[in-house]
Formats: sequence, structure tokens, C-alpha cells
Amino acid sequence: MTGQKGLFSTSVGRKNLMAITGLFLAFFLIIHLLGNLTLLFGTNEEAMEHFNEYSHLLGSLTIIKLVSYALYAAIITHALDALLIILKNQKAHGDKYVSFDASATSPWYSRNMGVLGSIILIFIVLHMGNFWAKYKLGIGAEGLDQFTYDSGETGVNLYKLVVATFKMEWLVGVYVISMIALGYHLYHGVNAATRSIGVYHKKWMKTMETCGKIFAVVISFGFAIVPVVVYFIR
Amino acid sequence: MKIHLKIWRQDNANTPGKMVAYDLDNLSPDMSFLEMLDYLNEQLAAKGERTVEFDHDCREGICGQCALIINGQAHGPEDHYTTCQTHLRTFKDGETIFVEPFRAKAFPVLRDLKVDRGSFDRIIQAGGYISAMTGMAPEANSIPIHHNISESAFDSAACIGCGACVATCKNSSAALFTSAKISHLVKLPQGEVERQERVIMMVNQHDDEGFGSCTHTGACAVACPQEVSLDNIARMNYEYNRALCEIDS
Amino acid sequence: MALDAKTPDGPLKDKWSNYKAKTKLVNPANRKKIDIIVVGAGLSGGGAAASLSEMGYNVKVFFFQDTARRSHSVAAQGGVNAAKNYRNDGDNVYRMFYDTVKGGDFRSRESNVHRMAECSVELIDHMVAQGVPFGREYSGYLSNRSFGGVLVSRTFYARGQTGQQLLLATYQAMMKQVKKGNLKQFNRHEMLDLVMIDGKARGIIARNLVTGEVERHAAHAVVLGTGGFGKIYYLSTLAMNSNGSATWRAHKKGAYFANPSWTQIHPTALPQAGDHQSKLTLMSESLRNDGRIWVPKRKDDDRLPGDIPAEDRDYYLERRYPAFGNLVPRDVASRAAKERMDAGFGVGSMKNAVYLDFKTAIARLGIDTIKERYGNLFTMYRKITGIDAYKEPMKISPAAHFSMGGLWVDYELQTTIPGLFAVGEANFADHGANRLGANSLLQASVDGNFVLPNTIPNYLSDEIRTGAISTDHPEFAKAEKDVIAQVQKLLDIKGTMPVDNIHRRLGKVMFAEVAMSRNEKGLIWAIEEIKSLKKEFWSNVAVPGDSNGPNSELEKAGRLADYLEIAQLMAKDALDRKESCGAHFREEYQTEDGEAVRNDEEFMYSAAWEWTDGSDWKLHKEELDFKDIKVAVRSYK
Repeated sequence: MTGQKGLFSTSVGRKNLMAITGLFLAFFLIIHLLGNLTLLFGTNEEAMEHFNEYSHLLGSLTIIKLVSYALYAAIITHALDALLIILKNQKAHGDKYVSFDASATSPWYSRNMGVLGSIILIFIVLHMGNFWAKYKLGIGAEGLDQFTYDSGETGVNLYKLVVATFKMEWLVGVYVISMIALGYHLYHGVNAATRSIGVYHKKWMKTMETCGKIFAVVISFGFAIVPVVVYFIR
Repeated sequence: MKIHLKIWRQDNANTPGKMVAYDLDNLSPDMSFLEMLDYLNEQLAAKGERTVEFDHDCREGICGQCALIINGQAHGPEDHYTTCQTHLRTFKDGETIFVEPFRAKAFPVLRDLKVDRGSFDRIIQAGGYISAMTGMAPEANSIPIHHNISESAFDSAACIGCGACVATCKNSSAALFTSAKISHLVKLPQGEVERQERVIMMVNQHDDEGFGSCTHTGACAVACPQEVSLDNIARMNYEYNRALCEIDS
Repeated sequence: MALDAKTPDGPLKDKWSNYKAKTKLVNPANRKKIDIIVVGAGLSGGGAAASLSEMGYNVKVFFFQDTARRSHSVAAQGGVNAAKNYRNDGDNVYRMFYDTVKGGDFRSRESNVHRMAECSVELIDHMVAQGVPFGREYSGYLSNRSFGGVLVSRTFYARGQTGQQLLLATYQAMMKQVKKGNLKQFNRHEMLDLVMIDGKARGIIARNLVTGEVERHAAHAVVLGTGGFGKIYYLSTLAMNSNGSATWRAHKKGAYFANPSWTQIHPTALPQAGDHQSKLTLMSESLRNDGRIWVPKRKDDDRLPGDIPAEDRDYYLERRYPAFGNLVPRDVASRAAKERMDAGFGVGSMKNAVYLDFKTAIARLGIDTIKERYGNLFTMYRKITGIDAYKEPMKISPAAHFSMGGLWVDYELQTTIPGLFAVGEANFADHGANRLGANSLLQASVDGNFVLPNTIPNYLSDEIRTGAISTDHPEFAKAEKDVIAQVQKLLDIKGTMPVDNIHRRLGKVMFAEVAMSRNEKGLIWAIEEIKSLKKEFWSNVAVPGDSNGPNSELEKAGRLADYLEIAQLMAKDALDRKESCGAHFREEYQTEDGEAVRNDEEFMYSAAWEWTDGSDWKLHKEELDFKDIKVAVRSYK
């Protein structure tokens, strides 16, 4: 057909890309959160056992490795595509209004997905520096406790690393604030994403929207509670 | 009542514009906003000054020609109103009101508050129609259409093409306008035949005109005088992806 | 020139088929060599532009709006009539024809009306195929409602936005042709003169309302679908920019103007609320299906409407016209309202309104049904007045609405200028002295889509050898020079009186004396008033700015200049017709209980006026001959 453009080269297509990567990342959050929740239950020893074994299991599966590459790609794509969309949209706007009351017609977080996303991106870098770099790459891991898994292998005691990290009040604060940003990002993003890929049903639209919002609240609350609880009880 | 106006004055798209202040007195709260501008223009004309150019026509909310940003909101402070339906009773005595044209790259200013919305025409030209030539039609009742489907098609078809959706959108996206027409036509059996070509061509034209991407803030649907629903955009995206998948079938 | 309506031979019901069977055509290969200019892009002009370009002609369409989708057809609310007889209630083409002729008080051309009724059937098919979301039953079949002046349900509707939906369908058909390159659109262009070469219409002079440039455009035929001139009353249901200039300037070039004084005053508009009001918003006639009209029985009854008990209310339409009740035709309803208001029973702060009450209907049908039927009208009412009409009655008042008069056309819709055609409200033929509700969308659409495409080839078949018309012809230069001179003249007056101010005063004169009820003394007075306003206009009108860009005041001034002349002809026509018929009610000619008295002996004709020297007109009569209908006193009692 004449005039057909690639899936991701139109205004709708670019949003498709945002939506697909975004939903993928949102799905990953569920897996991540399940792991984190092991930090909340049982005695310190039990929690250490469960958490470290879970982390080790994830790290040793090839499929998870592949998924992790997909995650990195998704984050980068999501961010770059967002940048492209923002630039294009700014160009579409042209001159600014002298007086404009945006809050009258839309919630602030829906208009500031880029800001929220940037906070989350910075957070991801910090977060990976805190744990991933030490745990996976061994950067700054000197002097950290080792842990022996059921399989007999040894590695950095991630549980102790987490507990030590979350004893810093300021960092707990940063984590909680970032999770609030994540919450708002998801609160708007999940529903926007389903709309972008064209999930459409006259009757179920409202229910779907509610589910998306519940998801955002549960996920962000779940993540935010972990550092706070660790700070107080571990 | 008294109103202080700050109105955008600009000779044409190539010259810079600025806000100019005007004070009006002896207004009645029952006057419409446009009648207030008429009143201002009569005073300017009597003094031999160039009057404020603004678009308006039917003054009953259906033609879509009037298009002002009043105090930072498309068509004024009330949701789902047109500019011509906005009355002075909405404002306080002595209030300062900012009046600006609808702004978007795809809506260049012609003069003062008048803008060119030809981009909307071109989006419709790209495929916003059913290609039934005069004389071709079968008997009207030969295709029954469910009452609810017809009503739903009407909800989308109600768009008056005023451009408030674009003007109020932080991305200057015309997704609501474009999707309303796509939804209207695809919901009806008559319009289903051309569904693939229509959505692809209209979205392409939407982009070529320089409108932005929809980020679902929902501002458009709040400003829309006809309460065209945001769901139309999801429907358009569905149609678009469906068309890409089925294009060769 | 003698008027020849060119009505085809044969029995009434076969005239249109006979015409189509025998008329000359233009072969598809030759259509590319023919240029057609259409002025106006509403249902009639837009329909013509879409249909003709679809057939293969090169069409240029001109309109002053920023896009064709805003043409004033958009504002028609209630519906469009068609003799489909889907309700099995005894409707058919003849009955529709009969109702229309009777509704028009036997002052329309039989053959045209019958054709309109015939074509109504295919029009609904056409519009449904274009995607118009008409109201439907739960069975999925098309629904109908009833309108004033008829005893069947033949009105198709799309909520209260039927005109919008029909117009959008037409607009979309046009846009398709624009994309294909068959149709070229000139938005924000205003026709300022007709160009005639060797006695034929050969083009127009148009002003680009963005750049101010005056342009020449040539064609083999010119079609005017420019609507009515009801805005002459200033306060009317028309759009602010609706105007009579295109038809008027054609008239000054030789096209006869027929029945100019027949203006329909719509009974259900919103009343004037203040001095600066610019518009009287229409509330659809369909409201009279379920709303009951009344005024208090006591003068100056200052109780709230809800506090006035039934015995103190005067449901005057039901009282005077028991057979049709609240659904009498518009002219009758308006006049009855005026009678009550003049007698001092009006309501509202200016005593210029009557109540339209839905209490009975809400009690009978439930608020949800009323909401589904009229929801958008109630919303519109609330937006404009701030009042919730579900709780208290609407205040309504008569307002100038539709021009039954217009350019005189023959059966082929050709004016007295060869090559100049007029469609829709711009012509005069189908509605007689009063138009029935939901017939205007019908006439406009039918003229543009089904009549003109069948009749214009008869003229164009002689043009296939003409070749392209050059805009270098001296006639173009002359017309262009005149237009530029007039624009300059308006700018040079540099007076102090704003255009709207003069227009408002003209409107007051017209509404007082040349509207719902007229008399000799008033009309003579009105003519003098109009003349003095005209003098004032040309000596003291304020048109600031220049002509090198958008200048609304200049546009309005040009239109008002024409209105001041049209007004004169309207008054003259009203003065000349010494009878009461339809919308034309002469106080001298009425029964004891205030009903209109026609004079068929002397006035069974359409008055077609020829522009002579600029100060007077010459009357030509087209005698009306009713062969297939018994001319009777129009009664809705």
C-alpha cells in the first residue's frame, strides 16, 4: 500500500515502542518485587537465606540472563524514544502561550512523564551502583561478606549488602522518593501504554484503567516499603 | 461589569505579536464572550483603530469556527464549552482576562486571534470519508445497524473540528480529532471497507502536518466542546496496528 | 424578459423522469474540458461541488469560512424529511408534495416541489451510505420523528445535529475530491462580483480574505449555493457571517430576485436578553413534539412558571389550533406568539418570550426519554442561559430564520442569467411562502446532489467546444476594477459609525415592519428608514484598517452595503403583495380571528424582481398553475 511507514516511524508507531518497552519493564517490576519481599519476612537468618538463594537462582539461569539484556535494551530504547517524542512534540507546539492553565485539564504527572522518567533513570543508575556493580561486577566489593549457597558456590552476601546500604537514612529517603516517582510514572504510564497499543473495549475500558492504577500503587508501595522496613527491623 | 482584557495582537505569521491591554466597562453578565469582543471592536472602529480579528460564525457552538484561549484554557474556563457559549457571568467583575489564539505549529496565526486550521482539512482529505459516489447508494434500510453502534458512531462523529484538542494539548497532537473521524467511520458497516487505508493515510497526514504524539494526558477530551471521548484514540491505535498486521490480506 | 420556468411536459409524477430521460448530457471525456465555479460549500453548494467533480468536471469551490465543514448548514438541528414511509403511516411522495405545497400556502412551483419529494427517497440512501449516523430503532432500522405541519412521521434525524452530520458527509465527499485533484477549494474567499461575457455567466471576482487580494476566476458555469439573507435582521438564527452578497451581486448583473420578502420567522429561538446580543440561538422545532407552549392568562403575572396552576395558563396553540396543536407550521406558531406578546402576555424581563414547557412530557415519558431525544438542546439552553430546562420551562421567542425568497430559477435551477445556477436556500422555488420544518436540509442536499448534476449538463453540452475561458477578457478587468473601487470607497469613508451599529438599527426596522406582520403604513415608513440608513452608511460608516490582510470590518461593511439594498426590495415586495400568505402576513388581509387571507385571484404568482437602474425594480410575474392539487384555504384548526 502506498504511504505505509514503518511500525515505529509515525506518531502512533513511536508511542507503540514506548508502550511495549514500558509494559515489559512494568512486568519485570513484578518479578523484582517478589524477590524483594523475601527481605520482609522471617528472622534475619531466614530472610538472608531466602533472599540470597533467590538472587543466586536468578543470576544462574540463562533465560534470565537473556531477559536482563532485553531489560537493558528496553530501558535504553524507552529513554531514547521518549527523548525523540519529547523533541518532536516540542517542535509541534511552536510558540508558547503567554498564559496557560494546564492544570485545569490534566493531572500534573501525566504532563511530566519525562521528568518522572528521568528521576527513575537516575535512580536506576544509583541503584545499580549500589548493588549490581558490587554484586555482579565486583566493583567496590572489597571487604564485603561472602555467602555460601546451597549449591556450594560462594559469592557476595547480597543480603548483608542490602541491609548495610539501607542503614543510610539519606539513601532510604532517596529510594522512597524515587519510588513515589515510579508510582506516578506507572499510574499514568500503564494505562497510557495500553491505550497506545490500542487495547480498546467500550465496556472494559474503565475496569482496565482501574487495574492499571492499582498496579501502580501496589508496585511502588511494595518497593518503597522494603528499604524502610530493612532500616528499622534488620 | 468591568473587565480588563489582555489580547494577543499580531499582524501576520511572520511578524512578532504582543499582548495589548484594553479596559471595558458597562458590560452585562449575560453578554457572551464574543459579544464583549464585538463591543470592544465597535469602540475601536469608532476611533478608527484596527479592530481585533477573531474567528466566529454560528455562535451556537456547532460550527467550530470560534477558537480562543481564554485565561489559559481553550474556549474558556468551562469544560466542554465553545468560545461562543462562554458568557461573562463566568468571570468576576473587574477580572483580568488573557485572550490568545490557538497555538500549534500546524495552526499558523493569520492575524491577531485568527489561525489557519487547514491542516485538519488535509487530514480528512487523506481518508476521512466513505468513497460512496452520489447515486451509488443502496436502499437505506438494507443494512440494519444496531442502535448502540449508531449512537456510538455519532458520539465520535459529533466533533466540530474546532481544534481545542490541539490547542490545549501540551504536545499539540491532533490525535483526538483524527481518531474521532476514524472511529466514526469504522464503527459503521459502510465505513469498514476502507478501514485499513483510512487509518494509515490519516495518521501519516497527521504527522506530516506537524502535529505531535498523543501522551494521553486527557486534556483534549476535557476541552472538547462535544465531549468526544479519549477512547477514540485507543480505537485509532488499535485500528492502526491492526492495519499494519493485515495490510496484505 | 418573459419568465420561462421550463417545466417539462407530462403528468406531474413523470415530469422529472421525463426530463432526465430526454435532457442533453456531456460525455465523460468532455467533462474535463468544462470548468464550473461553485460559490458556497454548505449542503447545496458542497453537494454540487462534490457531485460535479465526481462526475469529472473541473470544479472550483469558494467559501468565506476557514473550512467547508463550517458552512451554516451545520447548524440545522431537527432533521431531514423523506417520503420513505418506513412508519407505514400513509406517507408517500404525493403526500409529501401536498404537505409542502400546502405548508407553503400555495405559492410554490408544483413541479419543483414534487421533484424534491421524489428525490428525498434517494437522498436518505445517499446520506446513510456516506456514513451519517442517523437515529435508529433497536431493530437497527432508521428512526423517524414528526415535524410541524404534517400528519406523518417522515423526519430522519441525527440527534439534534442533523445538519452537522449531513454537512460533514458532504464535506468529506468534497475532501475526497480535493485530494483526487478534481476539486479545488478556495477557503476564506468571498465572491464580490459575477463576471458576464456575451450575456453568459463566465466567472467571478473573489477577494482572498487572508491576503486581501482581489482575484479573477473563470468558468463555463457558475453555481451559487450561498444560502439565505436572514441575517439582514441582525438578530437572527443565522451565523454571523451569513450574507446575501453573492446572490445580490448576481441580481445586480441581471438575475431576477424572487419573493424577497418571504422570510420565515422561527417560533422557537432564544429571546433577546440585552442590547449587545448578536444572535438568537435556535432551539429545534422538534422540541414542539413534546413541549407545550403557553403564556400566563393574566397580564404581568410575576409568579414563577412552576407556581402558575394549569387553569391560569393559556396553551394558546392548543386552544386556537386543536388539530395540529403545538405542531402547527412555523409561520402560524410565530404569529400566534407575537399576538400574545403584543397583547401584553409575554414573559421574561423584556416580555418578549413565551414558555415551552416539558413538564407534561417528562411526567409521561420519564426524564431519560426526554434526555435521549433532546439532551443536547437542553445542554445548549443551559450553556447559553444558565437555566436547567428540565426543571423550569424554556423561554422562547420568534426569530428570523430562513429566506424562502431568493434568486429566481427555472426547473433546471438556472437563473435568468444563462450559465448562472442557484441551489439551496439561495434560490426560491420549493417552499412557497413558508417552509416546513426539516425541508431545508432536504432541499439543499437534493438540489446539490441530485437535481443540479442532472440539469446542468443540458446547459454545458453546448459549451464543450467553447474552450477555456480566459480571465484576460475585458469584462474580467472591468468587474475587478469595480470591486476594488468599492472596497476602496468603503475604506475612504473613514466615518465614526461602526458597521454593526447601523446593521443593528436596520435589523430593528426590518423586524418591526418587514417580519411577522406587515402593513402598508409600516412598510412605507420602513422604506424611508432604510434609505436614510443607507445614506448614513455611505457617508459615515467606520471601516478601519486596510485591504491588505484580514479585515472583518471591511467584510461586514461590504455585506451591509448589500443588505441595505436587499432590505429595500424586501419592503417593496411586501408592500406590493396585497394579500396574506404564509410568512407574509399583511394586517389588512386577515379574518376576524386573525387568520391570514390569501388573494388567489390577483396574487397567485411568484414575484421576480429585475434590477433596473439602481433605485427601482421591475416586476415580472411567474403565474403559478396548480394542476395536481386543489388550492384550498390553509387551515390547521
